[in-house]
Amino acid sequence: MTTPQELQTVPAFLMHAMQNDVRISLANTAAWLDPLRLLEPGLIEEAYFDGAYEEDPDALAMYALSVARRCFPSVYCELVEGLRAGWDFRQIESAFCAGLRRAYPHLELEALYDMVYGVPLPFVGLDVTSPEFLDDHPDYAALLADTFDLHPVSTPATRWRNPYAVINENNFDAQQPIARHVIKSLIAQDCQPCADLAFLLMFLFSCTGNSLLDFSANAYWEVGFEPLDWEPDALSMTDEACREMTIVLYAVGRSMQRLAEDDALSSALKTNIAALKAAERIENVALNWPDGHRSGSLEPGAPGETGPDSCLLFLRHCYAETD
Amino acid sequence: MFSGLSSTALKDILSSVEPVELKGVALLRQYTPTSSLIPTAATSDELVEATIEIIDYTRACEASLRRLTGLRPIPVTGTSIEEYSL
Repeated sequence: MTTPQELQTVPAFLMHAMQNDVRISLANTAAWLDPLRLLEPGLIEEAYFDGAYEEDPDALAMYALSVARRCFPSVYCELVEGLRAGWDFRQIESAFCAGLRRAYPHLELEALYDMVYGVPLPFVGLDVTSPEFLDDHPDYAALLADTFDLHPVSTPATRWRNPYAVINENNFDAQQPIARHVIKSLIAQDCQPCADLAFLLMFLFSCTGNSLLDFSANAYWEVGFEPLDWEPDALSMTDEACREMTIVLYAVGRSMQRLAEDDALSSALKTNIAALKAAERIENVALNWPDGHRSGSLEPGAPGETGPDSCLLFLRHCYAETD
Repeated sequence: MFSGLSSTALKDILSSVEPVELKGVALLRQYTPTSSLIPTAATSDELVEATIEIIDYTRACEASLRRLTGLRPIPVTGTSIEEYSL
């Protein structure tokens, strides 16, 4: 009969035996460090999408582990250790969200439940011709009315809806060529505050080239795009898009402030737009801007005849890591 | 262009492959179990390094397996087959 003292030596005996067998040793290592390897990834995903709608914490936590294993193994390692230490769902959720933030500093996830919508996409684009725009963004609406003559048009009440005002879509679209011409001209100045103003106009006319800035959440999903899968490439791309979005929004804020304080710039903007509206061919109109401070300018020759994508390169160069 | 491989050459190639020294296995070997079969003495940096390595290693093994299953027949010359028995 085995004595209690002999039983206490069993773990050491088993471990020694396992360490002497290469195959068992490898299996033990995999089970210790990478337990999710033993589960079928497809089943985890299936369980998640079944469980997410019922807010099944186990399915959510398992899916988070699976994403962490694929995209940021250091967080996966932390979560596995946490599970062994008896972490509850909230601790796993908190560690995953914090780990995501460490790996991708511009992405924000508040809850594992939100993972069902794919990689977080914080759309901030403007629906200028929607009824909500005037109430949501009175400052931008006033600027469009003041500079591009885009005044809201009242729509009479119907049986189902109260009267409301909206910027006419056709009028807004008609201003796009003028706005783009002004943007190109501003970028070609290669100086501030023209660069900021260019990005304000790009934001207002949804032509930054960054979907997060050019689409509102409603508009994006209505187009029928699928959520972005939780894959390393999608995470890196979205993180970069968010970083760029932050830079542009800072520029937009600065430009709004500048227009409110700088009569010369505001007046030049209005004059140039009026000249373009009056011209038969806008390509022939030379635009004039007040002298800027030339802070954050590029090397010679970089801006010139640029499109919106090159504009973003310009802005990145001017403000990356310093603002 | 590859035109064939003798069984002796195949044996030499396979036997010359160095064994992989995985950090996780090394950590496991260093561990003297007390009450748990799971090692507890490793630092978090060591664990992260070992975890990333074992994930990559198993992925590489899976990829090799996929390639092997899709491999076209390779002529192995120099092997005499004495008989076909059922």
